[in-house]
Amino acid sequence: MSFDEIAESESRKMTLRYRFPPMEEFVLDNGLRVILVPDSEQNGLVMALQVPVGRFSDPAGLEGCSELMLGLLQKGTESIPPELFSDKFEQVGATLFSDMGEEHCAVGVRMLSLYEQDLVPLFWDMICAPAFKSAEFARLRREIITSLQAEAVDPGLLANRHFYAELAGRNHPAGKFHTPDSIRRIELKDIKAFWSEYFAPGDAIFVVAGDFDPATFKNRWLGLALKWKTSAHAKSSVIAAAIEGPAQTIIRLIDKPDITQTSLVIGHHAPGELSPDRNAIALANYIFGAGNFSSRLMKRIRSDGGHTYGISSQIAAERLFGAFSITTSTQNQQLGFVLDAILSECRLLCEKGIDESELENAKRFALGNMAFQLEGIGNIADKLVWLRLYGRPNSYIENFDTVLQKIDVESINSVIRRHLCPDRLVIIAVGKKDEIASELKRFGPLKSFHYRSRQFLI
Amino acid sequence: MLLKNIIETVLDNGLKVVCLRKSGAPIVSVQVWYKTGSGYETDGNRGISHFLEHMMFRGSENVKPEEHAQKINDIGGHCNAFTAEDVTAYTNSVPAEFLDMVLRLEADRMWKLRIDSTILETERKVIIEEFHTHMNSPLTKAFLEFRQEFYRNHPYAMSPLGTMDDLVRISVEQCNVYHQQWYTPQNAIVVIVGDIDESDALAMVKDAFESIPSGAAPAGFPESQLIDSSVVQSGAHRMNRRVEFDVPMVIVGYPAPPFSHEDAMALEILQMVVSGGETSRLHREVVRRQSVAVMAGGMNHLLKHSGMSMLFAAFTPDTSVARVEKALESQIRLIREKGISETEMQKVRNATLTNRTFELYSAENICQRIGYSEAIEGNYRVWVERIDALKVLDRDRLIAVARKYWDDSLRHVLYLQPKRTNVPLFIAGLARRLIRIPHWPAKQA
Repeated sequence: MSFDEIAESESRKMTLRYRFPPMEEFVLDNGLRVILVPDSEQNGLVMALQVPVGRFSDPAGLEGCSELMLGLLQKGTESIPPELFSDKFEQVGATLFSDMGEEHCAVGVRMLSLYEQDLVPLFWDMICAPAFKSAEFARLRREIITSLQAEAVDPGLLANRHFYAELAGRNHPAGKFHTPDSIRRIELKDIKAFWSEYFAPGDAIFVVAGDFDPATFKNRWLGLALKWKTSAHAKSSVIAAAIEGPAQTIIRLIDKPDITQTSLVIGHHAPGELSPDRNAIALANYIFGAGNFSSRLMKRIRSDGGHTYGISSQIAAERLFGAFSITTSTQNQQLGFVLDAILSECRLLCEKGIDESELENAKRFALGNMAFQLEGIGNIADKLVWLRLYGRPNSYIENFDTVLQKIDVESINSVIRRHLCPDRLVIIAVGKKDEIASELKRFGPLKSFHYRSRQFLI
Repeated sequence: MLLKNIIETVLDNGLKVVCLRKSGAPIVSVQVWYKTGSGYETDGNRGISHFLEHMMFRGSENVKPEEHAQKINDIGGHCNAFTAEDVTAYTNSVPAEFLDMVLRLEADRMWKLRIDSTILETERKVIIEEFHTHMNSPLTKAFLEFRQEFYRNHPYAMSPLGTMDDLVRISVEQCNVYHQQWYTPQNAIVVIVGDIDESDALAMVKDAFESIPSGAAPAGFPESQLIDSSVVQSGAHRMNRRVEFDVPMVIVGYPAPPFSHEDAMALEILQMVVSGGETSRLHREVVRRQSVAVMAGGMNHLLKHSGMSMLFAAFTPDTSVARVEKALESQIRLIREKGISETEMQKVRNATLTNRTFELYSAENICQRIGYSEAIEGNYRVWVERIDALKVLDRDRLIAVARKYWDDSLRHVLYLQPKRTNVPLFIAGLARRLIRIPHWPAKQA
């Protein structure tokens, strides 16, 4: 049998539906949504708490407040000093983890299930009564400033920051960033106020997955979760608005004289996660630039041209705000050629759309990939908090094939024409100005900054 | 428990196959490990292992260029490859029903790779782009120079990236010779982990790979260049680099044993005690109590024939590098003199057990561990049994290992000094010292 015959025969029996393991779900009196997923594949246990507040809620001028709050949360409680606190987790091999998003954040622990009794009370002590010690605050602030200093020379990170600064502007939460200056302005009282105002159980999601008994867990530990209260002066998290994007193509050149390649970020506004077009956009994005070696960009720029090591496109989507971006890097002397090729692919997609076989492959990718997203308790917990963040039930995943079936070539091409704007792009190029400025001017009006300039980042 | 169900076989052509059924998600990971890498290269073909890794995606007799990756992407799977000093590995993860297709794709490029000269020229450009991406990072560039000095004439002195001089010259013929020499069944391991029936999987492997000729016996590591790790780096060495990077850093490297050496596990434990997590010696003492560094850590880079045990620290410009080095040194000295506590030993055992438990949730991770252990240590069971071996390791042995390898007379130091003085950072650091931010007491209840 040939490869094509094998692939075709296997495709016919391709699994279309994936099931979550059995679970219990309920909402506590304080508003906390709890999901318990017993899974005895191994004797591990993951607890993940997602709270709907993120970077977008940072007070103006105090960008970085949310990140400092999340970091400090893990540095001891009112009754347990910081070093003893980390001892108690690390001594039994457990790891605290956290993730700071734009409109949500998460904190959790992964551990062996036999330490449930030791660590669950500690976890809730951390959530309900963090210490917020001044020495820990000073140390963490110093650490974040140092990380920012280290990142400040990375061409890819620089390009990304400038992209959002230009696209969203300084009056939109997506256009503001924490910098060493904003971190230095933050005081401990700001962190405490932020925590008190935003870190609340209402609309938060707590997932426990792994080797445990749900009935025992509920009896023993949910009383601790109920001690977590919403403060009297609670505020709603900031939900960033969708943006219009530029009226015409804008180019920023970030001069970094010491590098031989130019890092590019090109893109514009996009619909948010709650848009009805979301799935069609994801499929189109797979075909265009997210599908690795199956994508049009990868084929033209890398496989056929050899002009880059990697190129991809992505959709960053919060509830309402979204951004579409293409990222790549190429040697300075071929920048013009690469930009021409990328823009021509954008126009081609807009004008001619996609065809039936591309759509079929994209759908198969989306369905087949679901299997990986439900492997292991960590992935299951991640998927559940992601679903509930947007108010989606498990059936959203379990019936995904029927959702995809409704998307046909005509509807996806209509979505592409509606949302892709090849003449209203933000183009960021981080590279050596002397070698790339004249090429870039071909594509539109150019603004140029030295890479150390912080003026346009906040 | 899961790992007791691993089965293995060797086909008549010498191909080793290791297989494990793991339920949980309807997926399977398939990895093919070739026992060759940059350590097996000589002058004139530096970078060829990595070059060939790229060409393996560029078509074989029955598979068009990039079709391997496309076929896997288009069913929701993912594939990749990496080249290291001792191994080159190809990784695929797909929905379980596509196991047969993946095995056939891998077999085709093991036996019937087709290297087209036009495509090779295009791929050369991609590889050169990749080279530039790495070299545009001041830290990577400095570290590669440091590594070259550390290993001197050892085959590990060059990284898998190779040299630009050789990358621009590597030919179709060189690639074909390299492929015929190293990409043979008897120099490869196929690892399959996932939601599969083992006997069906083995039948599929036989069907796909059995007809491939065994090829010539692999030549092995360039013995003429192989120098015992204990004498590779004689004497301490120091390298200062002024870099376009705003945070001063120091990296300390000690000669270390091969991954399969009897001292390797002890050195891994010592490294975890010194640098693993917030309770580590470096974080507690150097970062928190002494406030000498902003971040500090370490890792052992243990390869098949030698290795490097590293510590590093990032600090503020108001702190002298001498002070930071002294702080790192003093932690090492303490371990050499007094060893580690039973509490620390237990912490390492628990952390290792937890890591192992969570590795077992992922078919891809299990595949990776089996492949690496089989290729580097010669038997994947060494990895399987590591948890038990850890239980019987005693603390006196750790002191002996610390004294043997963390020897200051063999210490190599790389100091990365920012080209530009960061004035705000300097002032902030100075202010911090003047107002004396309190440190936590050395002992707490």
